[in-house]
Amino acid sequence: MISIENVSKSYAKGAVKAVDDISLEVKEGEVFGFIGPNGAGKTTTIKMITGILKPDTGRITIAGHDIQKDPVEAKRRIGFVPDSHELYDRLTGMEYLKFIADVYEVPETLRKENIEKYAAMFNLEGALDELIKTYSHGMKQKIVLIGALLHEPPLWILDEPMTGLDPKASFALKEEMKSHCAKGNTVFFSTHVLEVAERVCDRIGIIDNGRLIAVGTIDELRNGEKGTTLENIFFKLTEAAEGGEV
Amino acid sequence: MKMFFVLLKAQLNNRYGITALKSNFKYDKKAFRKQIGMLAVIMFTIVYLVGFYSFLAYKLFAVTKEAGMPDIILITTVSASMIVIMLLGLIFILGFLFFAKDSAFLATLPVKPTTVFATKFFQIYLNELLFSMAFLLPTFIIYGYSMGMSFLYYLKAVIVILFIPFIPLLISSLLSMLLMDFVSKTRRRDSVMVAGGILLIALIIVGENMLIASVPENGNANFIMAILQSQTGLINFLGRAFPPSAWATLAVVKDNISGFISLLSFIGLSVALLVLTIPLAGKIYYKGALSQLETAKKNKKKKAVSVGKSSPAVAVFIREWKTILRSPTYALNSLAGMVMGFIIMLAPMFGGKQDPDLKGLFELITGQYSVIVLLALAGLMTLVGSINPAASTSISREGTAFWISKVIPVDYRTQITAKFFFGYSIAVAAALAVMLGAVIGFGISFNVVLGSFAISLLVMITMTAVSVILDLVRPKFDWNTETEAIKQNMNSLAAMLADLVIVVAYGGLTWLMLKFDIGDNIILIVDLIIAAVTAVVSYRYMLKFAASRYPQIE
Repeated sequence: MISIENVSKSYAKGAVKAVDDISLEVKEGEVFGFIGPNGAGKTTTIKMITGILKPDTGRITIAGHDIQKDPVEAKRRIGFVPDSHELYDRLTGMEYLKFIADVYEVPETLRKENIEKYAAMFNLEGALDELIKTYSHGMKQKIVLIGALLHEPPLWILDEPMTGLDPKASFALKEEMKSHCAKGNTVFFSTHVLEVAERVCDRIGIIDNGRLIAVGTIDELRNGEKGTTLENIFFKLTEAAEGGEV
Repeated sequence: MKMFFVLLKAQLNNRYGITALKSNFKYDKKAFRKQIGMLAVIMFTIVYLVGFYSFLAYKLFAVTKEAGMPDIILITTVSASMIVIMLLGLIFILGFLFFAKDSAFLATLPVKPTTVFATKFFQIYLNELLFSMAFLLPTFIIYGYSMGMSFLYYLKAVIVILFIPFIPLLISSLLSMLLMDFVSKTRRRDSVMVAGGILLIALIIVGENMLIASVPENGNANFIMAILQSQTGLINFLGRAFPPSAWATLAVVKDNISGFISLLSFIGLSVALLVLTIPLAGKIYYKGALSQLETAKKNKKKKAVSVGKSSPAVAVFIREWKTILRSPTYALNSLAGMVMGFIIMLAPMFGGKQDPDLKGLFELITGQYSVIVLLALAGLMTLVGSINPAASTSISREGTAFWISKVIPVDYRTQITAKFFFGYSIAVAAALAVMLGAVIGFGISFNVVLGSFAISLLVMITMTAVSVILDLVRPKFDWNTETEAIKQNMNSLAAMLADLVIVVAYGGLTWLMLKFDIGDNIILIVDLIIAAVTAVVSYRYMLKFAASRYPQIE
């Protein structure tokens, strides 16, 4: 579903290497967790996958569509939740969802059905006619999530999706992620909550200092050490990477 | 007082990028050079414009001095600057004081609301002071030098210029606080705010028109003679558009006791308004500012979901209009020109037609068909239509929500087309307002106004496309208030200058054709052909440029 080939990205005219020659394949039907310390390059990678940033080198395809050369077709297949909640504050929640449905060309029946379904799931029905600028942090996160799921994309890309969600909404989202993948779709998400990654993900990628230092299932990452938690693995790998042992 | 300076320093550092400049000087020399380069370009543009304005002011002064009325230049520029500060100040204050993103943060600090208000007011004052200095220093220097004035004249001029922004800004602050106090009690705050702001602007302009038209209807000749014979008559007469401006001018030009009393009155009124405004701000400023931040209640009564369908281009177009209409700052800045254009065109209805000196002008305008009237009106429609920041900040206004435009599956040409038609629709609406005003106020025939409208429709395509291109080149996403997104955005200034250049170019070309006695119809056809060709070329170039530029914007 996602193919990343030798992708690099620098800021400040090459002075800061945010992502350094990453290659990765994310298959259909899997939940892929993307973890790493603050400033490791997670959000930059996600922004390149979604077409917000242009890679300096390398190529990214979504279901075979190059995000740079064939952006509209690639973006049609993505439902994206960013780590920040910057939205059109002057629109109501419903107007925002209608806008998203229009730009993704969602049929009327489906948009109505999905808005009702997700608004009920995230307990946002009563606030849809309010301006987004009056929403709390969690409500903004919920409206972005509904917008991302509205057009039933085969690929969800979620950057820190649990941030700001109440326990009920957080649980509902995790269940949705599993059921989405059970239908042969894909979820690519970043998180700092390692327990969630350990419980939900089929495979995990660990990024540090812009480099992908490990990719695999939890068992593969444990490397035979039974009982080791993802937290232990994470600290071990990131500390080793800082010490230059990778 | 200490807290005032602490807050002021932090806000000035943030707003004018002083901290970023210092940091770049230390760590990123390239970025520092870029910032200094930009600053140099801005300074050069300002110096160039002020230089051109000074040249025109000098020529005007020479004529009025010859006619024995040298004071005209001072009183006209002083009253004009005070009216402009009051009108623009109202929009600025509403945006900067009441719709800033930092209101919630500032409210949590152990600082009195009066101090927060004072720091914000002082920043607006500094902004307007720069404007009044650029506008008034040239005329005060020209007058002082040509009339051989003493050192005292220059000293008083400096004091007066320093105080000029206070009265209009304090009046605007009082009006905006009262408006916000009212708005905070209503349910649909943003809509009430937009309507209230536009109503206040309209009232100010109507009030100005009525003050200016307050000449006795009978005995015009005697009245004007009396003005000219009196020592201060002309200043008082011309200063009636904004009465304190007469005190400011008299304070500087008169060395006698009346000058001293005028200076005291001018400063006294400024201080009195300040004393009245600050305590009032302590009571109602936060009420208005924080009412904008109230969080929505959830779990209210469920409503049936109703979602009609639009094409992606129409969806972007509708989103732009909704955002503009719901943001008082955006609405006032984008739509005020429309209101001003309409009301100014109604000026003859406020008494101008009775003035014998203007009678000839009205006869020329409303009389038989004239290509000059048609083209001049087209120029005015085009300027009023295009001089608004809607198109030139169309990308910048998205701010940190720009990620949405990057991830939606709508190609960049379609997105920019929607933004273009949004900006163009505002320009067309403003041109229509001027057209209506021209018919009602001046009684210009429908044939002429329709011809003017047709030409302006074509020229505004070019202007809107140029404005969108300018914003695409260097969008400003980093803003704290919606006011900063449009008023402190160099793109809107650059677009306005480009619009002026385009109108002046058409004017110059028409003037040349008139000089060479080319027939009226040929002049019209030539102007129409040029307008049509540039419209097509600029629109196509905008689409092409958007396709290549959008992916690079990060």
